[in-house]
Amino acid sequence: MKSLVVKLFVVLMISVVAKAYAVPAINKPAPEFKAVDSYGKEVSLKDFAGKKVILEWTNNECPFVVKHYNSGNMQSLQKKYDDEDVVWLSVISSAKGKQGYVDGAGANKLSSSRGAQPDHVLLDPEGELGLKYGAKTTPHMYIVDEQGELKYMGAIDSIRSASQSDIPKATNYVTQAMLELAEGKAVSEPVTQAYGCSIKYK
Amino acid sequence: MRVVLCILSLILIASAASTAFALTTNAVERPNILVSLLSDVDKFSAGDTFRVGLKLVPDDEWHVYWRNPGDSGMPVSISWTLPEGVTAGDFHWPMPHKIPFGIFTNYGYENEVILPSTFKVAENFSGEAVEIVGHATWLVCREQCIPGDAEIRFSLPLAEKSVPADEAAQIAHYLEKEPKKLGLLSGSIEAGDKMTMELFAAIPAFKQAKHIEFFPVNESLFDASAEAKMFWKNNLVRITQNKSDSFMSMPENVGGVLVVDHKQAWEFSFDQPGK
Repeated sequence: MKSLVVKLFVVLMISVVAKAYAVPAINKPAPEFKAVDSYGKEVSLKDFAGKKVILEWTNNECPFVVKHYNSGNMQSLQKKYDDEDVVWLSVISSAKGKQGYVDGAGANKLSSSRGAQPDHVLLDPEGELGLKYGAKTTPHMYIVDEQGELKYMGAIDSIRSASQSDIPKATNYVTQAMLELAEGKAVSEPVTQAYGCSIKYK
Repeated sequence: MRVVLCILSLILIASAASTAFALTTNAVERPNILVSLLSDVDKFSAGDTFRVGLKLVPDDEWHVYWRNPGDSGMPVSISWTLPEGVTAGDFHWPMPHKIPFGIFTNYGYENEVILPSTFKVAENFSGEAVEIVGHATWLVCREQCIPGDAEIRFSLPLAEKSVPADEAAQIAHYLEKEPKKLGLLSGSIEAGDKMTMELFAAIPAFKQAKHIEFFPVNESLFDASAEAKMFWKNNLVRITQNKSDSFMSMPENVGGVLVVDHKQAWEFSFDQPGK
């Protein structure tokens, strides 16, 4: 009996997760959210109205994330957009006990050891934020404009590999979209297939 | 310089070791996977065609990926370094299967798999042997993923007549799992609320079918985790499935694999007019 209840509960949980999974639309308002950052501060998307926001799903143990951090690629993007007054949010949706899960202190330690400089690291062990945005992989990148509209979602760049040597050969979709937005143009590739590790949802 | 010398000597040792084993290389051990190359001939002659297979043996419960990996992952790939007069074709991909992970679905291989490539040797090829070097890359996953790569080499001697190898049966086993080409009289695809694709085959391939499974070759068209609603009758098959999250526009060429009753795999492709 007990195992049946457990099974039912598991089935219920799976269906709840499956239902919560959504995919936002380009040029439409990006999903609003409330999340807690690594310092315990509550953060919501509307806090950044009037600024561009980049969301980066991350998992420090994922080889594809390692590719973009060990090469310094991700940090240099964070630095570049920090200088341009763009808000950078790193999101960790790994569930407790799964690969990439960290608590607030762990996330801050990671930022300092990796030389990362996001404005906030959002802790999302329940996966709510990830599922709202339809985030599938680490990395998975999103750009929200000053009006709160989603302008890009997908891969960080055009070469799906875990090899750092591919980075200079690839088209970086984030910088491409940011440049086009800065020039007042439509984003030429607003949706791409993200590549990386599956997000380790609950 | 010392590093280069060191690497060079390692390569020399490796190639010396592998020539002794000629037709199947020693398995290269990488985290959670064993990788080797094997050939379906012991010796080949000029003008010949033969097959070289990349054999991947993931640990129990681990898997590698098909050419469209599904929701995440990365296909196995290989780049060949070959002497002049020898060319290698793309992998003959055996039919994949679906690998669920949480709310995601991937397409790949959970057990041993051999990915054969067809090699062609020019009529005027000269020399005593052909040195075959394959640089393979893959992603092997269970819940976690580990990218890997290996450079594997072996030497195949030239002879008057080609001689089949013992490994030919292993390669043939996987070649049989390669989907057969399905000629189409028509093919169309439409992206509405869902993706709807309709195929009219040149032969009644679905007449006796009790079950059909669909694997899209294109990425960013179908949602790998969504159920495919299948309707079929004789030559016709209609597939309705949720669109991929990353769907933006129709590609020029649309392709897929249909596996009938878990055993007979067909591969189709059609062009989109006006694309």
